[in-house]
Amino acid sequence: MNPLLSVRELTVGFETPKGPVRVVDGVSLELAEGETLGLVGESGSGKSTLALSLGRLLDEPPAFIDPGSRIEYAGVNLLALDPERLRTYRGKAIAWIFQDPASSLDPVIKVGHQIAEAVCAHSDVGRKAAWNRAVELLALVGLNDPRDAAHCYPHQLSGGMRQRVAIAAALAGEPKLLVADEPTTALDVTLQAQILALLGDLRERLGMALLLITHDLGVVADIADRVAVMYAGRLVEEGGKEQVLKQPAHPYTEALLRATPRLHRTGPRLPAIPGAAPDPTSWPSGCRFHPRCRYAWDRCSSEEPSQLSGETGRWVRCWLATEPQRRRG
Amino acid sequence: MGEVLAGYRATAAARMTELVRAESLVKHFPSGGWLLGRRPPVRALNGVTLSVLRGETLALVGESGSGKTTLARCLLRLTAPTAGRVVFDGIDLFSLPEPEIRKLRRRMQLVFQDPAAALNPRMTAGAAIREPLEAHGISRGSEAKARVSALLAEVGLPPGLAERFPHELSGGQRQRVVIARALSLEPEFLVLDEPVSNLDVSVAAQILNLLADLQEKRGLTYLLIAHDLSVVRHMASRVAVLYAGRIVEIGPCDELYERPLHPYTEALLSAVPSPDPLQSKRRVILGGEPPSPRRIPAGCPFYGRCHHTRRDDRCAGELPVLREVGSAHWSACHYAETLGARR
Amino acid sequence: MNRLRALLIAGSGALIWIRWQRIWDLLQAGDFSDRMAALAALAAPLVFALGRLPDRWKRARLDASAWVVLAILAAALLAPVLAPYDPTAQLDLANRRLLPPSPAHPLGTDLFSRDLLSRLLYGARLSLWIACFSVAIAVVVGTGVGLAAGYLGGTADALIMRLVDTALAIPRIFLLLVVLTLWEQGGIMTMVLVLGLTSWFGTSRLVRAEVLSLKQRDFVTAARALGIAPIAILLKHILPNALAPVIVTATLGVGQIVLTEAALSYLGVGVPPPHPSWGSMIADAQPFLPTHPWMAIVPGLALAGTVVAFSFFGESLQAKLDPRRR
Repeated sequence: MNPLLSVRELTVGFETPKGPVRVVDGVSLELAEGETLGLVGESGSGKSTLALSLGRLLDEPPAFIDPGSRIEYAGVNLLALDPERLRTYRGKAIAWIFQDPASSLDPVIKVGHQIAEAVCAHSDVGRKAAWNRAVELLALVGLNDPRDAAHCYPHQLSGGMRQRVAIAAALAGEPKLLVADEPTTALDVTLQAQILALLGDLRERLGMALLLITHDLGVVADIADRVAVMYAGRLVEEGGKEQVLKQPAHPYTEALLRATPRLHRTGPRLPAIPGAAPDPTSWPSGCRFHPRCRYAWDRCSSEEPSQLSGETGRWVRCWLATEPQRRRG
Repeated sequence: MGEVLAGYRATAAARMTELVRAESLVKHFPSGGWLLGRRPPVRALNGVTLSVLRGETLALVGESGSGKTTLARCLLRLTAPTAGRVVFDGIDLFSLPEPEIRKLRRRMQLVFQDPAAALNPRMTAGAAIREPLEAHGISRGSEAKARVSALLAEVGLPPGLAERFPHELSGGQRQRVVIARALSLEPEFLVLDEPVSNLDVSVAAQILNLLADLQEKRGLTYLLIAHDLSVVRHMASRVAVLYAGRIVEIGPCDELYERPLHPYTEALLSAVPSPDPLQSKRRVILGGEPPSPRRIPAGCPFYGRCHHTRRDDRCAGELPVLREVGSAHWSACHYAETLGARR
Repeated sequence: MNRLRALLIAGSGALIWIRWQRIWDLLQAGDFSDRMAALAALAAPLVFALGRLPDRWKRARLDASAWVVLAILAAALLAPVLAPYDPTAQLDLANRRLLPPSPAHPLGTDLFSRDLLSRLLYGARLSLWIACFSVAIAVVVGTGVGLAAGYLGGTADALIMRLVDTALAIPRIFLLLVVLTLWEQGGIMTMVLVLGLTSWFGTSRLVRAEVLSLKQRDFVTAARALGIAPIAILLKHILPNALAPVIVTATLGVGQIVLTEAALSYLGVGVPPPHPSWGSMIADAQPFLPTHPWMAIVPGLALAGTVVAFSFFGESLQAKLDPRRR
């Protein structure tokens, strides 16, 4: 089966006074219909830039997408489309939700109108029908009184409800792929659980594919089918959720899992990762994780490993894959 | 409320080593808008009594709007409570005049959630750390400079960083500077207001380790405010759970995590996502949201979202008081015992 | 940077060489501002040769608008040295009235045979002097009032701000006309005072708003928690962070006041004759607009150019005063 979304060698950067900075550097990934891919990375890893570049939502310039990159949606290279054609894909094929629902909603327009506007943008319906559809969507995302809620302004809703409204607006075009960039980071744990459950439920019911971008391995464990880990603009590891979380192949994934505080693991000291994430203006030579890696040897600083594949859909970008005995030392 | 207080005081151990005590703290923020009729006040704290013991880490957990930050600010006298008092090492904080309180501030300090906002953007890291040293006449000139270097070293930063402005530092480095500044006055009591929630996981672990080291070395007492219950598990010795401006459960960390005796605590714990995919997902997903702090219902404030099998009319009508349900383990649920027994 | 420096040294050196006699006369017999201008002209090559920009300024890098503003300020300061004639001298009422531009009079002469280039340069000096001093008064008063209102809060704040609102409701040009007409013999100093004391309201509101938002910021709470005295918090933490927008509006305000002063002078209540001011020059030129259009166009362009230059400069300052963008 052809993948729904196929990203090949995507390189995205920004023009700065000091020269171009490549924030996403040669990323390739695939997403099948109805599948959920968790993309894990810390701040500065390029994951949000990646999310926006999927619909060319970045301002170009200062942003630029390397001409060698391909983003194929159902076989169509989105990067080759003219702006008018591309717009028909936004919202209808791919829709986005972001971390801060407060800033993705217009504060002076009733939420019902905002959703209805999105409905009108994607299908040829009258205002009344669009409004009714908006109310339906609000019910779909679990708002108790969708009719009343549609008449509210964003500030009259709580944070959790606002995120539900943002999701409803994203669903207006009946997208095949929902890109969720840190959708629960700004929310309390109990609301986070509600929203994750909602996303999982919607995915089942609507058959959407979900690209879930997060820094939280716990969120990924909750909802993803496959996991890709991003570090310093590159994907470093990809595999099934269980494989990646139970047997991380890349030292970064391994270290990240160890550094994550757990509910049922005590002890005052956490095995932290030394140092800080590198700056996009000066990625380290060789493997970009080598300055913080506990296994690194001389080869790691001089040569960058390629994507070393194991079984299908399971690969790692690390020299350890060729010399596994070094993991012990 | 009075009997709870009495019960609290009766705990001999608590009285022996208590450093900070809040007594029936109430904080209401009046709402403006007299033109269109007054709206009800925001009831941030509705009678909180607790004590922080010397050398411990007491964690305050709860959702946003539960009153955690207001409580911490009252304990540091950064906000005046509407009613109740705060006693720091035997001194009633709100009876002291302002100059006296400035001296007392040397003994209690604050670490902020967002280190970028907590540093003056026009002051270098060194100047930020030096300012309190000079304001309190602790050291000046080259002596102050040496102190700054020593403090930077203590939080794991090279002395050269003193010349940098906040925007030239990484998030983790900024938080270390904020910690160094708080330590400059050699406080005994440190309020940590979500100290790692703005940091990346790998950096957060470093900061948590640093805080643990500092506590050990300097014998610090921490009040940790956090919404991340995994972080709390690693740091805290005791945990207090806040809901709608009240403590609904308080107890030793391990005990509370293994055997929560309030349905809200139980739901909070089960909502935490775990990176372990094999862990059983028997979750209690809380419906709804906390009550608005302007309209807190009568009875148990958690009544509307409660999943407890014994939930009944008594919960709707009668506010449960905090009572001891285990050794040093208190819960404000009418049916706390049956919650524990069910498992 | 080095080529620019050489150019500046050469230019200022050439000025001394060409205008040596004039500088000498000014030093001997000029009034205070004439002597300052002469000294500035003499010191310029030395300053350019030996002076060093502070690192902060170097990093800020001056853009075109800053250079234009500096050039305007330099021309105004050096007016006595640069101007070929005395701006108030009636050179030859019989033969040299209303001359068109020529090598002897690059911008021509006016009805009273006064040299227009000299009047333009001296006019710049007077206009900018008035504007800068008025703005300085406005900034000091406005910042003080704004700080007090924002920091004290409560009743004091409400009282001060209602007074400011009341003052803002009075049409300013009307107020200026009334005061200046009543106080005709007050001279230029009165004008500076009146302009300054009627233009601080906006600044005070701006500062107050900044203070109110800064008071809520974590680093101010941190300073309070660290036991820093309130006055130190106000001066070290709040004021420096509130100042950036004030400096920007002050820069824009210079342009505004140059315009206001020109308007007042045009209406005849501003700078008293025979002192040259751009506004009075335009007013004087009005009857000759069909026959001698340059008489109005040149001061008009100077006025517009100065206002635009200060506006652009204000905008670029806004970007540069943000420490994160340095």
